[in-house]
Order: sequence, then C-alpha cells, then structure tokens
Amino acid sequence: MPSDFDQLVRQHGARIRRIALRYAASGAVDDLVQDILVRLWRSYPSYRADARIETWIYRVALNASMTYVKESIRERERQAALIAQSPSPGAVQAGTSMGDVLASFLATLGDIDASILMMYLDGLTAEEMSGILGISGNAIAVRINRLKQKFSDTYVG
Amino acid sequence: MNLDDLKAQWRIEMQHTGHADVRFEGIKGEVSEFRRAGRNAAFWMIFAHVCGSALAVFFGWLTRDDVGWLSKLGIAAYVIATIWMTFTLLRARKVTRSDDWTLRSRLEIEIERLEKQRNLYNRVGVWLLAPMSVFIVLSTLGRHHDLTGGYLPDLFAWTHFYSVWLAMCALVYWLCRREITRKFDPLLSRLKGLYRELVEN
Repeated sequence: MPSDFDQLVRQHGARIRRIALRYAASGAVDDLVQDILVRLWRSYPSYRADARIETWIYRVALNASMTYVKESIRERERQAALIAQSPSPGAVQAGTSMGDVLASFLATLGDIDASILMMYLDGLTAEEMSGILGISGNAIAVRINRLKQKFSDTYVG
Repeated sequence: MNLDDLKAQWRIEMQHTGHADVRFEGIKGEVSEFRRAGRNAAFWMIFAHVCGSALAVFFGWLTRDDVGWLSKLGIAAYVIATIWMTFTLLRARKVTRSDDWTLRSRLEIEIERLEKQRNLYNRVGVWLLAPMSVFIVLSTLGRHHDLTGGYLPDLFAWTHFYSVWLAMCALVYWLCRREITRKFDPLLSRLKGLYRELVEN
C-alpha cells in the first residue's frame, strides 16, 4: 500500500465515512466504507492528478454507495418510513446544533439530492457534479435551487 | 439561516479525521476477492459441463464398441447443450453500455447487468433444464437399448426415474423464481428508482 494512498485515505477518511453514513443501513456503514476504499484503491492508478481529489472521491464513493444495496434494501426502507412518519422539523429551535440540522436535512432528502447537497457543501462546482452524476449542469443548478428552497421552507419557516 | 450556512458545519465534519479507521490488510484481501469474483459460479458451471461432456464423449462413445445411435444422439445433445449454455452464460455477462464513470452510466450498467441475470434465472428452463432433459432422456433410453436391444423401457422403473428428474427440475426452477423475487426484483426496483430520481427533474 503506497504511503501516498495511505495519506490520502487518512486525509479524506471523514468525507468517505460521511458519504457512507448517508447511504448505508445502520450497522453496514463500515462495510460500505471498506467497499469504497477498495474501489478507490483499485481506481487509484487511473486517478488523474489534474482533477480535484474530492471529485474523484465523490465519483468513486457515490458509484459504490448507489449500487451498494444488496443487504440494505429492507433496512433502508424501514428508515425511510420512520423519517416519513416523524414530524416536520419546522423552524430551528434554540439549542439545535448545526450538526443536527445538517444530519436531519440530509436524512429527509432522496439519495440523489443528498449526493448533490454533500457535493455542494464541499464546494464542488455544477460542472464537476455534472461530470460525476452524468446529468447536465442546468439540471444540477435547478436541483440546488430546489434544495435551497426546501431548506428555507423547512428550517426558516 | 440558509443552506450555505451548512458549509461551515460540513467543513468542520470533514476536518474530523478521527473516523478514518482504515483496515489496509482488509483492503488488500478484498481487492484480491474482487479479482477472484470474475471466476464465479458461471465459470464453474461452464467448467463442470465442459468436463462432463468431454467425459461423456470419451467414456460413453469413443472407448466403447457397443454404442447405439440413440446413445450417440444423447451425447451429441449434451455437447450441444453445453455449447448453448456456455454461450448463454457468457452473453448474460456482457454489458453493452459504455462506462464513462458517471453515476448515470454506472446505474445503467448495473440495471442492464441485473436485468440480464434476472432474465437468465427466469429462462432457466429454456437454457438449462430443457436441454439437460433431452440429454437425460436420450442417453438413458440409448443405454437401455445398448444393453437390451429393445426400445421400450420398463415403464414402472422409468416413470420413477423421470419423476425424480422432473422433481429436481421443479426444485431448480422454484429456487430460481425465489431468487428473482427475493433478490433481483427488489434490487432492480431500487436501482430503477434511483435512476429515475437522477434523470427526471
């Protein structure tokens, strides 16, 4: 294992884990993290240094996450049902941390919108997201605007 | 408060490197596992039938003098069935869509691969059970003819034999249907849902 890959994984481990947390069923996060790391390691020789490292990580991690559904379908359906049944968060209450807001907002989004939100928060451009997802930059811009509106409606009131 | 305010929180979470629990030895092992996965069940199935048909040709035809036309027909049916099975299994592994490393193409590839596998399980009667049944019937009747010279078998004994064979076929078919319902359909439904979510605005 080359030390630069080791370094890279340690540097971006939190990002990888955050993505896995959003997509894996509870109890399967470590497995998804491992799966993403394996795929990163396999594609490491083809990683082009001219692209941003975050772009490559999102590309690999989202591909792994979206197709990592074999063991998690029932659990994720159960989680989605729980989220759907829970009352709307409404305006942010005093004492609610930004971390809670971020986690709860991510949980209310569909898988694709959640991926767009994570990349947006990470500072990726619409063009970079378009290259990762395979949809047009315009479509991404529309979705980001919709996310902003939804966030406003949910947490600002 | 707006969405951009979450960026600062995101940055804080990204700087928290304590979560990077990496099992490097595990990664190495899993990479090897990925490579080994290429030689999967389909490969072993093809390998077993190629060996089986080679043995049938050698021991059932070439090294025996008393082989009748019905036995030869049975062995030929097995060889043809093996070729067809190999072709079907290999074709089911082939994905026509190109991978441009986007999530969209990855989902398209996964959906195509799963649909082909589902189709394979769904049509197990056509590419596996029916050809093998032809082989079984021809070769058993042929062997009976080689030994006794007659074409009409003992109906009671043969009814039992073919009943067992039919029961095995029914079991294989049922297991495949169960796999479709329990594994392929939920997976396909989820992947197609994701795909719709991605491409539909």
